[in-house]
Amino acid sequence: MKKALILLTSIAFFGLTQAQVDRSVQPQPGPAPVINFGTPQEHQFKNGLTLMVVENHKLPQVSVSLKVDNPLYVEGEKAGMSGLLSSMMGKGSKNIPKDDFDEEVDFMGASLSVSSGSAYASSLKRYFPRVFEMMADATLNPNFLPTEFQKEVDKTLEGLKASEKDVKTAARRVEDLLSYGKDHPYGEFTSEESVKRVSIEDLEKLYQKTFHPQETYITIVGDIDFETAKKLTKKHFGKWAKGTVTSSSIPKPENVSQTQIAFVEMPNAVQSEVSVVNTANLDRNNPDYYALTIANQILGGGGEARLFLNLREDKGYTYGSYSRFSINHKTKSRMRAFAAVRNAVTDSAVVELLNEIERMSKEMVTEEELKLVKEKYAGSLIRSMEDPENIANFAYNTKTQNLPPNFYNNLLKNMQKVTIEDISNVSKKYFDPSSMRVVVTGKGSDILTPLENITFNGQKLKVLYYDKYGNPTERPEFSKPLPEGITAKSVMDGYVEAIGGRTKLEGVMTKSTISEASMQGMTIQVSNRQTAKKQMRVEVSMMGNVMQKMVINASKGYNEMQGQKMELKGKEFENALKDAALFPELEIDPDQISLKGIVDVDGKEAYEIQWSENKTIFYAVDDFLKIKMVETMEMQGQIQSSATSFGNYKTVEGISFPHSVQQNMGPQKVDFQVKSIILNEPMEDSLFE
Amino acid sequence: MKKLNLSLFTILWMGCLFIYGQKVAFEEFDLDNGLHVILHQDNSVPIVTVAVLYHVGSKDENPERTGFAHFFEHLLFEGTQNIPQGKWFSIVTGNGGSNNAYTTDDFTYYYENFPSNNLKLGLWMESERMLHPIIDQTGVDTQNEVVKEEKRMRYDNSPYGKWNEEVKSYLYKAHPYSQTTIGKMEHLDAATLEEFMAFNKKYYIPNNAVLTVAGDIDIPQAKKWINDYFGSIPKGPDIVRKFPKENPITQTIKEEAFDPNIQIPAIFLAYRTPGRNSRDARVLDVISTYLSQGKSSKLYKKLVDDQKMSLQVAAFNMNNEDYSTYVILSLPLGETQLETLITEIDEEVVKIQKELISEKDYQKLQNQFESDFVNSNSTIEGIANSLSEYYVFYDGDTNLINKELELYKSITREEIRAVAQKYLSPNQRLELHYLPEPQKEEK
Repeated sequence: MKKALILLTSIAFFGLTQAQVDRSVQPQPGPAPVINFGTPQEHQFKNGLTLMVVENHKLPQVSVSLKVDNPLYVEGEKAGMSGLLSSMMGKGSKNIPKDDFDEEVDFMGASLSVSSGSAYASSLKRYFPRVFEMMADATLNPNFLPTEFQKEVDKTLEGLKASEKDVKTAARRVEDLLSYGKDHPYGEFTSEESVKRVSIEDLEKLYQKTFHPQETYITIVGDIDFETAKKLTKKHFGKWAKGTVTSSSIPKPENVSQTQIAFVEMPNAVQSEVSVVNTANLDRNNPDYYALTIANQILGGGGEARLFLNLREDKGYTYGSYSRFSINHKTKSRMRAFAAVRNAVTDSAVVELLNEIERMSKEMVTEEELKLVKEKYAGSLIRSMEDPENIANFAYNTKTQNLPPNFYNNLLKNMQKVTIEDISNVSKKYFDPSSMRVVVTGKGSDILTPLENITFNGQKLKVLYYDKYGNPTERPEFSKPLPEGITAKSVMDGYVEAIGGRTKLEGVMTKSTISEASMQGMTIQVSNRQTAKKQMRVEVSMMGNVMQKMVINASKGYNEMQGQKMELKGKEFENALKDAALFPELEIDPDQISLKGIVDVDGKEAYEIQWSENKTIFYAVDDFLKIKMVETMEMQGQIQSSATSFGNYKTVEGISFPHSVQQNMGPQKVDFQVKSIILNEPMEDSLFE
Repeated sequence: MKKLNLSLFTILWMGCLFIYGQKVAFEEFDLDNGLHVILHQDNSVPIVTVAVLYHVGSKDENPERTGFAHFFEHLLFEGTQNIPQGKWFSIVTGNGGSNNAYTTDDFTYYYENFPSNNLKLGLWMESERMLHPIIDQTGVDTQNEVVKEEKRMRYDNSPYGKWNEEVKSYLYKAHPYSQTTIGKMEHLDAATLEEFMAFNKKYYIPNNAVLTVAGDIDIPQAKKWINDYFGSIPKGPDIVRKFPKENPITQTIKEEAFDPNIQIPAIFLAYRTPGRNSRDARVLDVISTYLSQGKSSKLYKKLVDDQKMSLQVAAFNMNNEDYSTYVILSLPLGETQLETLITEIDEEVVKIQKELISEKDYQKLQNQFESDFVNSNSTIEGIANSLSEYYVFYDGDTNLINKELELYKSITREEIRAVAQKYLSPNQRLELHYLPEPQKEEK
């Protein structure tokens, strides 16, 4: 017995030396580090300017950040002014021309930028006095040159134009407008008209109105001592005269009394932007701040949060779904839970977003969820300490938001104190599913009817209609009633008749088309040869060189680029063969396609024909001509669409062909002009091998 | 419990460390199994980085099985014998950490950042990954899909996403630098589970890795834990690397490439230059900065600002172990032809080859290098990365972190001229016309 015991212990001992640690057990964290963000040294100058300095001598560099804590202001009919002011600041100064300014900043290996209401510069320690001086000069003596001003106005207009059809831009614009109201700084938006109303004088005035020492906070961080920083600031900002701070009254944002859907029509949308928003009086002084921050993280803080797990991982509606609570102490804060989803699941996504919001207040969150989110928050706060500029930001927030002096040092402690009950309480208060605004921006003809039929908690949700600038509208008409006797077949017949008639079309044996487009100053030429035997050869050339070739005949097809041949296979080949028909409308079986209705296409009434799952073709109601084709495909979980518009129909040997063809794919746009069409010229079969 | 007051702490720092600007203190040693360990202690903020550099990159791959090193960058997050499949990320996040990894032609780098009370956890996770990762068909299948999405997103559907692949294919005829890190999807599809396991067994071994631990650590404690978790990992057979040499390029290689995702063409001038551990590679870095860093740099000022003939211009040296690739690229604006851009760029390069750069520009370069250098050491994560790479790619000279700026500063104007003459002539390069691919049209 004794022997056995000895044996046993020696085995145990042997085991211990082999593995000093039990690696099957996940190590537990040591005691949590106590964090102390420290307080910057501070001085207020006679003109009211506040200086805060965080000395950090770890690296021989210094940075300065200037922020003006302005009251919110409305730009009104000149919306876009502050954006223009930003782009005009920092282009040199009244004392230094722009080129010399840039040259000198580069020479010092420094960085420097100025915008409306703020400035930032950073450099090696030895150049800091000069960089600081230049930043002060650019901030206090901005040079608004008319030529530069015009350039910036043009750029702004160009930007507005480029984003005109962008679904996301329209969605954010209307969400902001509905959340805050059109006369609120966060609700108003820049338009072509408002930008055109802005003059240089307006920028001068805005500059005078928004740059005052008594609202300005300069924070200097890095390898500098407090006295030096103070002297430097006094030298360059000490003579800056006090101004008058004007604060205007800002309208109070209102929530809706009953959950409703605001629908924004964007006919080109292939994905719907869904946002659930509401606003609340909540700043960092509010005791609910801590629990609400944690609650929001559980709802939609990231890849481990409920919205993501439900809408992406479980349902596969979207690439990502999140919620954000943007804290504001000058006006109401806003909660926004959102996702971009494919058209077909828009109504279901609305319901799931509302369900998750409701679940926050109806059910208790789990211990595991709470623990994970707290640890995540703690980790990111601790890691943020590495950047001394965060210390300066925290100090700035503490001052301008009237926070208790140790707010940030106690932040982690206060977050850790949040309980499951606290989360339930704040969720009931702020995530009330019965007074949410659901803003859906998307393609009404696909999504509106299902949206109108949503029931949530046994009630139908009211739907209001808006255009992409947030103006209330009537319910948009997508499909006009079809006239008696119009069917997919009659549209096909109408088209065939309109371009020349069946007999003429059937008389075409071959067709050769040359078209050209210009892209970034270069000409692309496309030659397309087709026969009635479903043979096709397309060649794309640039500067005389053939860059791409596609050849199709009844039995095979391939694509050739840079000498690399890619055979078309299976479905790809079938589709290509369908497109190889000289006049697809002549051959299509009308049972294979469907007439969806009459819609508006770029201001023209058109019959919408669903040609295949991914392809829709539009024929004008007045003359049956083909005016547009839309194809969709999926890329990286996003649905992309490409549209081709046809116009300028001209007759060639009695048959009408479009002579201008425009291709749109996302932001890219290519205009093709048809240079020549030749019918029935002899073509050898070998061309299509 | 660690108490910390940043502004107080900074005063302590002042006296002891930075008489000569900044000095990064570190300690290094080898475990019996050949794992090289680097420790850098900085207790100013309670955070820690645990990083492992494996000396395996795309150049180590079988030409019929490209993309393996990068594939492992995904696979090795799947789980280990003690970390259940799919739990890696929630363990990191749930303990306040963040993590990532990346793959290059020469190496793969994995790291976690944690609050410093989780150093032990970080060491455990990395040792688990080194000792016994789960490599099974489920993980391979999952990551195969993810990698394909990544390739679509970053290369196939990304404007200009294929330029590097094109440049490599023309500059490297013998050396495996012709391979890309993302690799070929058909290779990954064809790879068997056994091949993945063999690759892991060959390269992911302690004697082919460097463990770097940086931040708020207690050195004796860290050493003990490192020994506990990594000491028992078995050593693997030594890896012998013998890559073929390239013949010098003596005639301009003119090629075209087509990209369906762009509207604006681009010109890429690419030169094959010496590996990173050479003085010439550093001189070429200086030349890049001279040509294209900042609004007042030679090429930017001339092509973009003054003559408005280019949308973008950049010169950079992609430093690698055996060779580097020096690239000058530019996108035209409006009607400008690519040939015009080449002429204008060459004019500036010829100036460097013929004349000494001005004293003022020389001073500016010194300032810019100093500034970049200071920034590169501003985070614990960045310092850990630098230390690992210096050790592996500069003959074990980890202390380069404290000497490299001086090396750059010692480069003379005459050397700049000589190196430009030696490597940057038109007959030594590839001229790649990178053009929009016309869309397939249905007329």
